[in-house]
Amino acid sequence: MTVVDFLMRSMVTIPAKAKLAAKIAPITALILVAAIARPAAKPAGSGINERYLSPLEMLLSPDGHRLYVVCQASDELRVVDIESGKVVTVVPLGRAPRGITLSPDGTQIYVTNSTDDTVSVIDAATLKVTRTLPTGFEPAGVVSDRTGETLYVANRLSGDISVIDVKTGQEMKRLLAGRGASYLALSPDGKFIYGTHIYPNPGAFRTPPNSEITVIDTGRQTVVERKPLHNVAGVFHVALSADGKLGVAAQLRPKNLIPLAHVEHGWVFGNSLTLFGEDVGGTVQVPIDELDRYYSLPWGVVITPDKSKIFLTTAASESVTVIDVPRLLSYVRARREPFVNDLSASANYVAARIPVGHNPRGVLLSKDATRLYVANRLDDNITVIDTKANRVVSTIDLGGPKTINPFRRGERLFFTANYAFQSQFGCSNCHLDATIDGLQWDLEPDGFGKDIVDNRSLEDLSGTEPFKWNGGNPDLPTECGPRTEKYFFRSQSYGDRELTDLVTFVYSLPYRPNRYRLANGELTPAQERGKAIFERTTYKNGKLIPQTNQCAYCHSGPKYTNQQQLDVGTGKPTDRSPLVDVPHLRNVVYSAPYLHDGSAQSLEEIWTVFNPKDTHGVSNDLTKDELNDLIEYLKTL
Amino acid sequence: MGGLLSLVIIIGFGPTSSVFSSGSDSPAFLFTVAKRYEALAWIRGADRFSSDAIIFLQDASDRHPLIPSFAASADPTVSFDGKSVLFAGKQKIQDPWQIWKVAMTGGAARRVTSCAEDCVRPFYLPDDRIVYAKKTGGRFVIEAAGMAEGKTVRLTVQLTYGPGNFLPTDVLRDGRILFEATYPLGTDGTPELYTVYSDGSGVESYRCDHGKARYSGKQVASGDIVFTSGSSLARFTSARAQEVHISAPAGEYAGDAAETSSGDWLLAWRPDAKSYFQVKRWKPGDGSLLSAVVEQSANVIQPTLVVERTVPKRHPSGLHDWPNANLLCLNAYTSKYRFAAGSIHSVRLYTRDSVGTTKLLGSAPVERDGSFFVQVPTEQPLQIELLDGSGKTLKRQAGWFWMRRGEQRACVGCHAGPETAPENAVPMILLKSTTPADMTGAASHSASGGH
Repeated sequence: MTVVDFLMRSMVTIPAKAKLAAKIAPITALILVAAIARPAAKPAGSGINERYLSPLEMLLSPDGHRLYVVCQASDELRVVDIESGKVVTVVPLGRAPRGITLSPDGTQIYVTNSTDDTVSVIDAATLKVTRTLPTGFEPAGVVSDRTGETLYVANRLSGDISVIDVKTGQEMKRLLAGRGASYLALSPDGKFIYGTHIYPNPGAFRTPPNSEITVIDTGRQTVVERKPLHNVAGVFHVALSADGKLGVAAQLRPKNLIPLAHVEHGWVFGNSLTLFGEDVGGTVQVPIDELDRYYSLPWGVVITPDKSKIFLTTAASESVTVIDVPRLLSYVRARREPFVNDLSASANYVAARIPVGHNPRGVLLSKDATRLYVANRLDDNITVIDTKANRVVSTIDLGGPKTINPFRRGERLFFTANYAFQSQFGCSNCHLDATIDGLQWDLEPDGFGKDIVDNRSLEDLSGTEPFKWNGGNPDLPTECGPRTEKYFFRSQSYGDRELTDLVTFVYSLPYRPNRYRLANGELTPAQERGKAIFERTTYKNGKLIPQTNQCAYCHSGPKYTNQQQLDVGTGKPTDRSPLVDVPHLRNVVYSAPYLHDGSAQSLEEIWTVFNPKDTHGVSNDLTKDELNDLIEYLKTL
Repeated sequence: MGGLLSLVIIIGFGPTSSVFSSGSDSPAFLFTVAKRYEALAWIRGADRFSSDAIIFLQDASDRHPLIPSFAASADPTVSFDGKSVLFAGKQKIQDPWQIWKVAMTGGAARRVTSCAEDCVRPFYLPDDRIVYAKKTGGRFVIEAAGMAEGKTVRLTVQLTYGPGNFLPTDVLRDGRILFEATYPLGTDGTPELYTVYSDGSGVESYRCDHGKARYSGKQVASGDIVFTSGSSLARFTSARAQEVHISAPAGEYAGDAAETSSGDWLLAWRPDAKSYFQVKRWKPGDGSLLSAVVEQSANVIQPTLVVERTVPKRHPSGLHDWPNANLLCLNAYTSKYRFAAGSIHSVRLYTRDSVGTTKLLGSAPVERDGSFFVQVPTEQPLQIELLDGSGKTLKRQAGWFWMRRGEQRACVGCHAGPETAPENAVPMILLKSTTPADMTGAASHSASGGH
């Protein structure tokens, strides 16, 4: 579950009494924050309790008459009668549902619940949830094998793929996938599953990010190939042609290693696809952008059965890109050199750009492939496109609230690319699904090559001010306003009300459930030992550790930050100042790499590599086991 | 001037959002009438119009001079709200051209510039700023300025610094200023279209398929730039790196296309070089032009619709408070010139003074990956030269460019073309040092020798 999944739930769910206090606190904090934030002219919070739907993914019934729509924010499956365009049934699901698939015989619908770490099994005839199966952390994409006996679930937070025996409901094993494993597709012959992941795999500091397409042999239930995606970070849906000869994955190519001096010429992101399979041989990356216009955050992708077209949602550009496959393949075969950085290439294979709603995500073809359905996540509706004419023919209203409250407005601002120069990127390009991107960036205002900064988590930010790694921005309006306009977007961005809405949304992003805590809230023995190390005030020899070198001194308070800027010896020669803002540690386990510049690949490296003089806490007197204990405790925060 | 128009024919248009002629089915528009019109006279710092140029307003029922009391007027541009007009004008024939503003509802024109020489070709920018060409020392430079309560200019910023002449031609919706200058920039070359941000940073040619003379570009609703190429019409599209020919009826076009809400274009056209320009209406794709305004003994040019339009994005200047500028090249091998691998050893930078004398600013190493990082003087012409290991010139930039004070700029390569996005890799020069080589001319010695 992403923070967005959780946010929408936390805003709209009527909490049980037992959870009421926990729910009220963040909302109260949110209102207070919004009240004191600059610009102060926050509109009245009308509609604050609106229960939006946020349709994310879709599935077609075997007869092609019904559309099953996963509604992320309302925790539902909405069933639409296609002919009438009406919602006919609503199926309650677990928290923050994300992925959906159908059993081969069409009798079972499987939906992942990303907050609950489960799969809901729905009887397609009765539309009742019949079973709930456990998965790994934050399940997303799900597919069934051809026999219907095995379910594969991509787990975003644990970076693996659960292999589940459908009959017993037991997880048989987990396959290591890419970091942020999220989307899966079964090959037409049923022999392979292709998996993608949204965060780059760990790599050496300041080297190009690398991702993979994980290929699973369904017969052996093992990973048989990892197709490397060089300089790619952020891979979303993957699809295969009906003949199995062409695969396509939607992806981002960030330009995080070069100074962000400007935006033009694809300087910040390259929106692109990876093609693979027999039609192209190996993997080929192809751009979808143009010279002066960008189609940001390619996300959902589908290939028509006759392999004539690819339809691709560009989630931050509110459009669908239509690609002529024969022209694409012809062009790919004619170009001998890589051309993913050629912004004029797309003119050779893009057939149309179709404007749709806010934050379009999942795409689905009708049974006869004459219609394309597009889930507009932040409009609570489905756009219907004539696939022959490449034009919108109707919109299906899923029945969400008609009032757009400040949260929703802020969310739309967060997920759009419309404010950056030539609409190249938006907040959500770096904060994927309002989390992180696992990358380090060279921002321009500091000079070129200086002050490299790791992307910071946006979870539960209230009380962690100031912002930026040097603590230079006292509040979110400063962080998201003039600074973003001048040094990121390089174009006129938010007005006062928009900035207030955006800040309201960002401040409301909640703390995601921590998977390392025991259900009863207690700590394991190892975590207890780690806690003692974290809170210790003396060396092993009994000498007092200087206060400023005690973990719990700087990482103090409810968010584990004293909100100060300190020199803990982790500065680099390219940093202008050795002082770094003390980061909060909430869910620190999910935000690798670490340190201000992302130079520590793991929590362990913070002390084994970057703390030789015990300036960042005292760690050199710890045994390996003790350091492990400390890390086990940190994972629970 | 009143006698100049011997015949004017007006053809009706489809429904329009015209502010001035609301309720009419014909859009109100302005045009300039001049006995002589030489679109490219600016290249030599000369007037494009004869001194009898006059702006006319045509609405549904009438046409009349926009500012009857003026001796000359030209270059009309309508404000984003459609309620006022900036133009270049002379109250008396012997006056220099100045920028003036007049309300569409009438009233006296207000002068907004006080230029010792001519100021022409104004355009509105967001936030009550304007941009125009100002003649200084017989040469046109582009200047941006704020208008104090819509009156006179203040806080002027010079945007162009190379040799030669510069003339704005439109303000794009992304906030950049489209202008025309020669290619190579600052030489006696061919007119070409360039862009620059409204703080003078980021100058570059719009496309790199240089060749025919390109000028008088205007952005249309699709975002394309429509301009005169040679004497015919062409467009730049977002998707293509090369200009796209527009199949329009034969003849010569003067650019400055105006697109109506119905998608028709108003164009200044003439059948041949011996004839006068007339304003024609054309539906793109049609085989013929319809007459809109015809003048038997003068040119009718610069059709300008009186309509409300989208305000371009404001450019938030990121210039630093530094006296110099920094220039980073990611990879000089990324170039249309196809340098042999490992051949580029160092880079030299030149400037030139006001009388045209070229001066070497210094040299700096080029890394194995083709990267270099230099600090350069600002607001003066700059020229780059790439050298091999023996000091022999591999390529020297033919034209000139500039950087603004406090600008930090990075390039994909050396003449890589706007279609080339950067590869994501840390430039080797930044791994070696984040301090740029001093090419400001202040250092006594230059670093030399690369890999």
